Amino acid sequence: MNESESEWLVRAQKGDDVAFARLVELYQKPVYNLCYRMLGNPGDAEDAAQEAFLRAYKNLRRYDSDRPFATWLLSIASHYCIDQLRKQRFNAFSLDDDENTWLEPPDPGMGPEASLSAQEKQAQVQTLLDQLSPKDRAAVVMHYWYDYSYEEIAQELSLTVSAVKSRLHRCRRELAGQWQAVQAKTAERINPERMRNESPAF
Amino acid sequence: MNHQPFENWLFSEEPLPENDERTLRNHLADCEQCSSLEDAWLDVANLFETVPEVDPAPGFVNRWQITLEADRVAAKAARQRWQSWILLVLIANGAALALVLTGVQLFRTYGSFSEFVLSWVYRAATLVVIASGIQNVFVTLARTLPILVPTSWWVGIVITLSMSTLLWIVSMAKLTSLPRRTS
Repeated sequence: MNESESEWLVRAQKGDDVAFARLVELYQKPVYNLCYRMLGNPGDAEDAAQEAFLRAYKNLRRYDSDRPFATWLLSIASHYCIDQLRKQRFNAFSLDDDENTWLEPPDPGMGPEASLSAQEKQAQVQTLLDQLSPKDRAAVVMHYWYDYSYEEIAQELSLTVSAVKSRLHRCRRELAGQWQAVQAKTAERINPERMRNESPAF
Repeated sequence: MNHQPFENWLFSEEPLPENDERTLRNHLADCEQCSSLEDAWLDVANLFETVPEVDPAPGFVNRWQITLEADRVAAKAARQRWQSWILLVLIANGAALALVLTGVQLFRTYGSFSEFVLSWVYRAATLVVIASGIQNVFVTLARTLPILVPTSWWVGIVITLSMSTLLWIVSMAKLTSLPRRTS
């Protein structure tokens, strides 16, 4: 945390809205990204990120300055997303439904090919993450996108370090299996004739 | 063949001892199932590394400020609703307490319920008698005054009352048309 950031934090803790708005500006991208990875669509990610900042603002007095502000903020966002995912499981429509796969609007700064490839990657990542339970998803997102250590994940998700290790191990296995399934489905879609005639021996 | 130990090694992030690493590599060279699984995981890890970050739509901070303001308004409304309920409960409790205390006081004064009812019936009857007496006085006055007071007096009274009413209406109209003081 740099000097101006900690100054904004102190000012925000004293009730300065402008200082907190600067913190929102600074952390909007990581918080939004975490929510996007967790929830899988831009609308829900935006709502979750807004809510995370609102919760952080309301609980700013409880923030322990010994802890990195980013970690605290991302922890609020991940808990909110886990709750949202658990609620969504009771909803009428399923997250597994392909009809509900959302895509980010293309970035105007990218060329059409790069934009298409980025969109495809986003969709692939979401398809993979959607297969995981909310807590597993949070652990994977924290570990692979935010470089959280096992200890930090354990602290954020109220788990033991060995439970985190075993969860991540199981997630890697699931993700690899899921990837194989997706690749097989794609290959079949591209060349159904060959797949049908292919000998099981090969 | 049992692939489980190799899968455990494959998905472990801990560095393997040299011997185990060699055994795993030898197994992967022969086992298509495990090598395909390793390739799949490498693809996933590569995908996680290379997938671009997603930006929120422009104006996120402005939208947050609007969210904060809306939350404050909602919190204020909720607080006011809560205060109104507390006030209502306090008033209801106060009224109930006043009723109980009055009841206790009345019973202390009258000793029994029948005595209390009789006393209030007596009071009501007295009120009716008084009202009837007042009505008789007014009826008598209405019958005798027109005869006793001369017509010119009546004209004077009517004109005075009309002028007073007119003056009141004009004063009220002027007062309400004045600009309101804000400071």
